[in-house]
Parts: sequence; C-alpha cells; structure tokens
Amino acid sequence: MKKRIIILSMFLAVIANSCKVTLVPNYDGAIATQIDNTLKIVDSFYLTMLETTKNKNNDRAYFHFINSYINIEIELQSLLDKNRVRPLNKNSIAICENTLKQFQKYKSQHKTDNQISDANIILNRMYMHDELVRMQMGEAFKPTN
Amino acid sequence: MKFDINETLFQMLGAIKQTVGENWPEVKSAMNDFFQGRRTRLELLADFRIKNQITEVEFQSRLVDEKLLLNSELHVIAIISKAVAQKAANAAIDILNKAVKALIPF
Repeated sequence: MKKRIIILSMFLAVIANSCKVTLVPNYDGAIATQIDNTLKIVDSFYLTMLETTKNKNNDRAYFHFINSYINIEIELQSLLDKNRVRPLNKNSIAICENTLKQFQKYKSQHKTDNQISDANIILNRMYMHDELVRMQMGEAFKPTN
Repeated sequence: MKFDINETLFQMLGAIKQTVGENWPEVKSAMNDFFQGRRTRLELLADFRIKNQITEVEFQSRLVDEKLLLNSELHVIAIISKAVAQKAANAAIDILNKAVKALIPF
C-alpha cells in the first residue's frame, strides 16, 4: 500500500512538473520593435503628406508616394508573416490582417482618385495609427516567460 | 503526512482569483483606451461630414474601417484574457505541484 502511494505521488509530481498551460505565445521583443518602427513610418508618411503637399499642381498624385506605399506594405506583410509562424497566435494574425487590409484599401483609393483631401489624410493616419497601436498592445500583453 | 485535497483545491482557487484580480486594471485600462479612441475618431468623423470635408460615400467607408478596428480590439481583449487565464492556470498548477512534492518522502 505504501509503495503504491509513493508511486502515485511520484506520478503526480511528474505530471504537475511537466504540465504548463500555454494559450498564447510568449512576448517577442523583436516583433514589438518592428511594430513600433512601422508605426513611426506610417505616422511620418501621412504627416509629411499632409504638411508638405497640396492637391493643386498634382502634388498629391499617387506616383509621388509609390515608394512609401510599397515600403509600408512590405513592413505590414512582414509583421503578418512573422506572426503567422508563431503557434497559438490567431488573434495577433487577425490584427495584422486587418491592418494590412486597411492600408491596402487606402492605397487603392489614392491610386484610383489620384488625389487625397486633408480630411482623408488625417483619417487614414488615425485609423492606421490605432490599428498599429492595437497590434502593439496585443504583443505587449503576451507573457514574458 | 496526509494529502488534503480540499485545502489544495482551495489554495488553487485562491491563486486563480488573485491572478485574475491583479490583472483587472490592465484589462480596464485597455477598454478605456479603446473607448476614448472610438469617441475621438467618431467626433472627428462627424465633424468632417458636417463640414462637408468628406462625402457620404467616404463617411460610410469610414464606418467599415471602424468595424475592422473594433474587430482588432476584440482580438486584443482575447489576447489579454488568454494571457491572464494562462497565468492563473499555471499558478494553480504550481500549488498542486508543491502540495504533491511535500508528500514525497525522498
């Protein structure tokens, strides 16, 4: 009987020792830094567009901003790809997909209209900024160990 | 030494309650942040529409953006909830682990 209790205790100890509940991936500092950098690039892109250009003289024609649009889309796609390979990460993947989708919509709208109003620049910046802050929060709340 | 299952379960429950309770300010802070952000955006959006700085089509398109952002916010809350649940579950398992280890005679 005593032997059985010892074996059971050892079994429970092994189970309890090896059992660790994991529901979300751990915090990734490199991804958090990349989100922060992308946020700054996006803010800089829209603020520069707002402050240094006007629609008259075709200053805000789409072709003036192609390189910036490409660079930002590459960063957003990279964030999505990096999150996709992490297990148990469907919530962060969804946030990245929403952010990329939103940016592509704004890019496509600018391309179609070939101009953009001050109000729409302000709103684009605000929605992109808030999406990226949500992405940042999603990463920041993940466990560190 | 006797393994007191009731005491262990009680302590495990206590650990879960404490962990969830400790994290409530973080959850609350995120919710407040989302609420404030939404208010600022909707006020600005209404202002631009009233002053005719954006068209009705653009206004409706922004409401779609708002929906997408709300979806992202729900995913942030899901991450917070999972992280808190993970911490609470592991705290409870640690208590079980310690209770069992205390009984091992070697």
